[in-house]
Amino acid sequence: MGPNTFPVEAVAKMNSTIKRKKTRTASSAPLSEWTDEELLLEYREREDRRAFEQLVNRYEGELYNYLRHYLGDAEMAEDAFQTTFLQVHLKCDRFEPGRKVRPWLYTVATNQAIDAQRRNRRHRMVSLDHRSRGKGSEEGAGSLVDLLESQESSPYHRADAAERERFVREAVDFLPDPLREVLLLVYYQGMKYREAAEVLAIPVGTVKSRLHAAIGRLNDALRLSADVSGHG
Amino acid sequence: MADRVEHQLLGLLLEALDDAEQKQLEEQLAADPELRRRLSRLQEALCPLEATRVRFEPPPGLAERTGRLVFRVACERAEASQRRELEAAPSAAVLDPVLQATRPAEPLAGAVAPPSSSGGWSWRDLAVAAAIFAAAALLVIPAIENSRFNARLVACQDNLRLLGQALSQYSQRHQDYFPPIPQQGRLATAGVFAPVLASAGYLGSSRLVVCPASPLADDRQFRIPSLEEIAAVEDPARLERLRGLMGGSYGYCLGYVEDGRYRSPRNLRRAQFALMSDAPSDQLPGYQSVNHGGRGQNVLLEDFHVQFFTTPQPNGLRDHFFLNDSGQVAAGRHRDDAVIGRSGASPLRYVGTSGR
Repeated sequence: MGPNTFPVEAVAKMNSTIKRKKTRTASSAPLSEWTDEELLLEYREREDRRAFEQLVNRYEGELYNYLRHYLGDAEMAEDAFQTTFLQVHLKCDRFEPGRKVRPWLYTVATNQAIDAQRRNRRHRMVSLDHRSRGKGSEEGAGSLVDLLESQESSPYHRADAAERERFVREAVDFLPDPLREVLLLVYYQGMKYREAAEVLAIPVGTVKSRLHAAIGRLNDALRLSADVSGHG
Repeated sequence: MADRVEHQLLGLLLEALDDAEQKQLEEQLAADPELRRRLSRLQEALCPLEATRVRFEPPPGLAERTGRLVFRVACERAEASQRRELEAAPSAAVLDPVLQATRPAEPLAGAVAPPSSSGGWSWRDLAVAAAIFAAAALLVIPAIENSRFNARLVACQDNLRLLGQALSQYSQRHQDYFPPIPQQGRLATAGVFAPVLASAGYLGSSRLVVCPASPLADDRQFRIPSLEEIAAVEDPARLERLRGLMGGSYGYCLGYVEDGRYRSPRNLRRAQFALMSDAPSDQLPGYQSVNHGGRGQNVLLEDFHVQFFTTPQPNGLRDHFFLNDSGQVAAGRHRDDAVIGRSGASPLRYVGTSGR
């Protein structure tokens, strides 16, 4: 090895490593090992269909579960899942490098769920019926009380396990959307406070206080139910 | 403070804290029995929710179907774009003679060559370049202006759509009523919708009520005041300023009068009933909004779709967006008489004169 060969080879090797790190190619590693960000950027820059499919597959279970909880309806959740990825395809050029894909996907999915709810009012039919009997108040504070008043079957503590589950589910559904969204992301999807704040574009402190308020309201409803059954 | 501790304890139970926060809290817990008791109380509070924490499995083949749908849409869009390019091709040919005219002409036989020092730029070259530059500027500057106008128009429509979502959610929880405007008092103005929605948690950010094409867009300090702040203002001039600003750069439906009684706006899902819009102004004829250079206004209709109208009373609509049937900036004269007032407008106060 001559005195000049080492640096040239070393530089070439270093350059190729840097290049590989910057833009992976399909031959360097299987797509399943790529990060979400690499997949999205690959799709955006090279329109590599396999990268997009990999991303859809990766989030199939997680995002469907989120949308199913959010919308309370399997068919609507499936539609919202498909329109979420349609939006990802249409808007991937707006994804800023350096951001994380996961919270961005959840933001898109949340917007699709809100749109789906508005378009298809089936989701809230039961709730609206209950509400129309309640008095209604600012910030939906009376909603859980309305729910308790509207329970035609036995209240929470007299009910069997399935009834109790249904009651809690409806109580969650009765929460104002800002509280419910935080509960869905942190409790049901297991997100960190910080991640939920990024998805909803609100301060971390607001996420914490909304989650606390949501749990508090659910417990108020259950406690009230226990009182009703105690006096009844 | 107590709340903040509970937030952290809740975060610990749900594994929602960052590693550093979690470590710090665990150390505190080890040293503080009272904190441990609070943690177990919170754990009990979460118990009833546990049964609902099920995982829903996606239907078989969802990812495949989604991929197919997206690529079908992508193909359709690509084909449509190709068609548009092909349709545009003849117009390029029409432009060709113009392009040829700008190419240097063959020197005529016997003609005297223009004086040029050492093959550099002559005054004639510079004149031609300047003319081309001026022509390009004439073509490009309006195009840039236009694209900026369109971008702001679309961003404003997005704002109104999000405000529509917030209003829709609010009405769902309040027996179909939108945020009410009180008949009297310091909150009796159209702009009250913003602090009401914000304090109930329906608005993520104050920027939602700022049209990016409006003069208010330059005020980076703007934020929606809270209801408590408005209640606490003592200086009448400051209160007036706050009332004029709290609705941002959008106007809101002033409600209507029926059987001699004032009624708040209500969600009846009418496709042609204006609920919100770019704020009307008293500087332009017909109270046309100044937000988009006076070229028109985005209007959020009660079925929650948003449309840009170049006049406040478009053809085919009997109703004027900014005036009631008596030609006043005040609550509508009947249920279907939509009137949008800017932030400081009161439903029962006679503000304007004629429709100008």
